[in-house]
Amino acid sequence: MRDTLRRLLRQRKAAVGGTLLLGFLLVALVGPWFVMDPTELMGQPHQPPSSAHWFGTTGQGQDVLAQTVVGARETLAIGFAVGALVTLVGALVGITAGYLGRRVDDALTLTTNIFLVIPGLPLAIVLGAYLPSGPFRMVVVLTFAGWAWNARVFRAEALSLRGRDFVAAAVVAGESHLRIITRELLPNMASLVASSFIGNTLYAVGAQVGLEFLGLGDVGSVTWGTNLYWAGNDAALLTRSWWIFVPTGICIALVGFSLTLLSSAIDELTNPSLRAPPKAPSAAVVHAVASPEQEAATPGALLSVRELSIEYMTQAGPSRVVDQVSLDIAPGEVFGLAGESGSGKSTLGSALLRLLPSSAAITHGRILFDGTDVTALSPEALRAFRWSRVSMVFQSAMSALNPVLTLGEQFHDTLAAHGGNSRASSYARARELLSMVGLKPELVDAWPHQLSGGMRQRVGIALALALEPRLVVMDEPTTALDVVVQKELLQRVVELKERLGFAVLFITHDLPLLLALADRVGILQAGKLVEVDTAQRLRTDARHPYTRLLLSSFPHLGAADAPTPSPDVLEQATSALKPPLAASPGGRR
Amino acid sequence: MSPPLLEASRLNRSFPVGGFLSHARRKVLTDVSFSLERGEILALVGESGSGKSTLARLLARLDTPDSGDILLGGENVLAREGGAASLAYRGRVQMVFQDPFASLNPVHTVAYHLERSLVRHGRARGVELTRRVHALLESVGLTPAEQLAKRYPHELSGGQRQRVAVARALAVEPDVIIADEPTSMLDVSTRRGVLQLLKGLTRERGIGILFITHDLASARHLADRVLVLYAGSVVETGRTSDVLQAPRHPYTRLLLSAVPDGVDFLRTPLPARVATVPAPPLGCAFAPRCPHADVRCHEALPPFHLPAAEHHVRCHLESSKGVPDDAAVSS
Repeated sequence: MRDTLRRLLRQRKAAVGGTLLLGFLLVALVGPWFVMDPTELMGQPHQPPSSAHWFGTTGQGQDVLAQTVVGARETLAIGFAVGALVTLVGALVGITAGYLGRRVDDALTLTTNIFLVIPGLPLAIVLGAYLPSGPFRMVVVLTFAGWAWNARVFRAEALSLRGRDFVAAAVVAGESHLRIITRELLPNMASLVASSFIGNTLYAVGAQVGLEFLGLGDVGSVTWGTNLYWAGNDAALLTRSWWIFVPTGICIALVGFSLTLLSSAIDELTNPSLRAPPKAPSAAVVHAVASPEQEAATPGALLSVRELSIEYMTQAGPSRVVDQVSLDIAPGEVFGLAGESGSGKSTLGSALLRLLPSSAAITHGRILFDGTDVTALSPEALRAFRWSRVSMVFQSAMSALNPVLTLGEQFHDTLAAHGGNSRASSYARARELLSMVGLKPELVDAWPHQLSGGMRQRVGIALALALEPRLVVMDEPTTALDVVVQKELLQRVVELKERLGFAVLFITHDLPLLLALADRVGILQAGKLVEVDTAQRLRTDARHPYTRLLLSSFPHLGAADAPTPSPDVLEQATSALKPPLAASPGGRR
Repeated sequence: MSPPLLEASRLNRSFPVGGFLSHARRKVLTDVSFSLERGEILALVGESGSGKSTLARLLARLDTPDSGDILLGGENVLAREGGAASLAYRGRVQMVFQDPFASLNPVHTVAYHLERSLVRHGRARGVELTRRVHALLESVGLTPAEQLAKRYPHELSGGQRQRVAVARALAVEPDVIIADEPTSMLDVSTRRGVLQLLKGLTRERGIGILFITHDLASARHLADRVLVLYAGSVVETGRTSDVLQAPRHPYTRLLLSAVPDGVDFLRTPLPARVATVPAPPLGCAFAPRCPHADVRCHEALPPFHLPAAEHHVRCHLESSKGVPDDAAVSS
């Protein structure tokens, strides 16, 4: 319901902005034929609104309504012309620089940067003094002063698109540069072109009014800027003749407002992350549906997950990503969770720390950790629980570490949040933890970007162990690493586990790895735990067809291979087993 | 004897590092040579940063080497300049990229991607175009072709997208396909299908495939020959069965021992040291990590040795048989 409302609101943004702007365009186009001559002295100066002059008269006796209406024409014409020109020049320079790169890029970027550091207003004033007067002067001046910033935006976009494989693929297919720019790059920038045009028009209207108000425009023409200039000259403020400048001011504000609305609507339409996230399914039902059998944790288990269901709210309605999953992890055990993308394995892992995104919620079941019901923890209790009892190692160590803090500071942050150690003792502990994971203690003063992928992941593990948790959730910690680095890291994890006694929930798609690492393995398929068994038994005695399919999908190094089904059969089997695409909003590739 | 289908000879590539005024360059490929025959799959294996993808880009002519030659059917392609020569090369050498989510343009349909390749290389036109597009989709196992041709990339699964990418490469009827980790972004259950598809192409059409991967297990299943890259240099090359079952170079052994395979995978120690010194400028790049390295390894680049037919190893210890037998990989 709320989602529909938000979508309606988004539509309304575009609708309100568009209607307003269209109204102004209509007035600018046909309005001048219906009003008096704006330059003619029609009546007494400084007359307040009356039936003869609806908006009153100026300090010289001209009709304010006529001036406002006629002023819209040139103001908007120049605004849109400059908006289009700035977008065109900026896009042309930016895309050429970004796509061709090297020397062309160097030269164009240097030019752009020179234009950027010259302050726009003085440049416009100087140019304005030399060029012949008239509306074209304003267009030239504003385009000259405004294109550079836009070129930067388009260059950045072209650079990021140029690095994309589909551009390289088009080159390999034999496409020409021109065709790649016009058919491969530009269509991908349609939203940028649209929002830039609107943003540039907004800039143009504002800058134009500003220049004209200062008297730097053509004071003989009728535009909103010159209206304000004359209002100032005729001491409208001193004589309290508010009607002279208020209508123009309101028009400028409304045009700005409509353009801003449109630009924001376009941004939201093309950038899904700006859209308000759909609201998560109600979590209030959790305890209402708790059945007696899910109350009981398995005796001796460190973690007991009972009939856990997690749903994401999507545009198409709620989608169940984790479906009635129950599992137990014993103290010191390595439990492996295997599944393909979209199977819900990462969602399940983050749910153990209640780290679900805002669009997801636990709709059923419980998570019992050492007697505590994690699903029922208050926000303060949850803060204390996270990391000190259960911690997590993420797939991407770079995004898990804060790039602007040294390692020592990150350890201090974590340690201080749970008990307020002094900085000196945090650093001492950080050194100890770093050497524990096989890194030099001196790295405590290093920045994340100075480390290799494998070293970062070691830091991630050291951070996860900082508060001596009893369970560490590891979500694909080695997927981005080379096999040699992966093995080094895993051997270290096993060694630390034996020494410190924590349990591990290891999430990965790599089943052969899990079979070597884990004590027990659970196979997750479309949110359901289809098989749980010891690694040893799964290796030889997998029961569920999906487990067998996964096992057969990995080629082995050994000489003898079990006969495998033909590829077509394999793929049909999986596509039938796979959840629909909509069911994997949290899935990672 | 006819020349090999595709041959690379002493390819070098370095990239500038450091700031705007710095002249420092980092070598990514050093004297890489290999050849690829018709109907053959050559696997190029190595860790990230070993130069695999740079080599793929050189061979796809997306980048130019600092020195060295690329020969297609015995003809030096780097010597020929201009649009027509480039188009002719692209009509014979095609590439399948790693990430099928990035290699198809999101604004174009499946049909558009295939039609462009067909039209650009004059393989089909007019009414014939649609028929060829459907035939191509069917040949990579995408049916019903009429429906799939109209779809946009985001409406396809990862495996389907990679099949479209293969179909696009096939559209120009190439002699060589460079496949840069074509399955690493796919779910495991769809990987094997794509690999089988590639293997079928070599058997049915005689296409030569350069298969770039970090996964030794898939290399073993797919490739006729293997080439192992370390820090931009070829360290070992030979028939797949020779290289993977009787590896000679210490780095190949290290790679093999790190493949998760078997119960004892985590219990066997890695046959490598932690590098404490940077790689010697003149010697073997692997020396700092090599458990068997001696003085020679830090002082001079080892030459290639041929322990068996077609088996090349670049290691000093190989010449003096200094590698103890117990270092061999048990799996």
